[in-house]
Amino acid sequence: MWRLQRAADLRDKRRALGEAAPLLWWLKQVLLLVFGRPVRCATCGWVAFVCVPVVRRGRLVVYGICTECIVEWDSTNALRFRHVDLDRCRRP
Amino acid sequence: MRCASGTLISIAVGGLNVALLTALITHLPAEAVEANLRHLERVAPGARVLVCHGGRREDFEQITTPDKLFVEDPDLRAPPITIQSYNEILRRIWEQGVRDEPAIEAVYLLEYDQVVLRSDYERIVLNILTLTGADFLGKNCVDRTRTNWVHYLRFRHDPGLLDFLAKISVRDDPELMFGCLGTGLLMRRAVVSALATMEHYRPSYNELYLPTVVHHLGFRVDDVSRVTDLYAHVRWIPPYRLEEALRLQAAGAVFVHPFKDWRALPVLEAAALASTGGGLNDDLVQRS
Repeated sequence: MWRLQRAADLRDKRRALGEAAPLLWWLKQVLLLVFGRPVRCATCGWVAFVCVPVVRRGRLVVYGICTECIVEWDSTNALRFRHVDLDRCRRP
Repeated sequence: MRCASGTLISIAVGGLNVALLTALITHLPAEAVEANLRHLERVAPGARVLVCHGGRREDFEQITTPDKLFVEDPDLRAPPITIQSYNEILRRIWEQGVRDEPAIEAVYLLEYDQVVLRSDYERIVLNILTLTGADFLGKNCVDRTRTNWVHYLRFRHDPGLLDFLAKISVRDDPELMFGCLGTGLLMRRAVVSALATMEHYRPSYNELYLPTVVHHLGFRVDDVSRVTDLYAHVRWIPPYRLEEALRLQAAGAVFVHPFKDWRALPVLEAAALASTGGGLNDDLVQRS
């Protein structure tokens, strides 16, 4: 179900990039849809972004984040993310 | 609103007489600026508008309204999303449009591509000021400290900016940084005065710099999106097409941004004049 939501979001993003969205951008989106996992906003529960987290050169890189987020520790080994912008945060 | 003699009169809002100055920020050719002004005049007759032109001098000279100022600041002309600054614009707005007009209580910064769709936008905007009690309001105007917002990441370690904030801040945490969209900024007279009369740090980027400095000066900064859906159709990208704007206008939207097709403004004007509009407070969808 989150993939459907993601596909709908991609329509808007493609418009934002213009009709000639780069091929590499499309490739990245397909890879994220196939291999990525959804991260949900801790406030509204909707998918904030789809990502592939990778440890690279001593840093945790979260490939696929495409929205402004606040991140905090949820437990000793888990992070949770929240939308920064209230109009993206689909609170009930 | 102006009475027949041209004297500025106030709009009664909630029992208080408050006047709003709309500052139209543009760099477009004269023809486009005139189209913007015509649009505002027809959709919201009586609105007090001051054109702040940051484009070519020859275009500025051709603009017919006397309520205009030309901004020479090179920071305003910086490439998009770099170090564009509104500091000089605010200083000029204060000197030319607000300082000697005590009736003006608030200034509304409107970029050229934020299009007004309803005649009662001034009343709506001023009601939000009253509702929130804030001194500075913007879209998604929130604390961006320790987020991945691109402009916070650009400036969070800027030693000059951090020193500057430490000097001016009356807050407990002088490193807090706020951010908002750079159009649709509403600020009280006192905020404009403070920003216009202080020495600023540069280089800076207005979407981060303005709400951050206002917060650290001790004013109350708030997010329009926290209390209403007024800016539901005010976004960064992509631009709205005409058919989208017409549909939103028919549904009661007050603003759309960005809308780049200034040649299509007469279509929106006609639709605005044909519509009945709606009452304001009932329109605002209050967020819990």
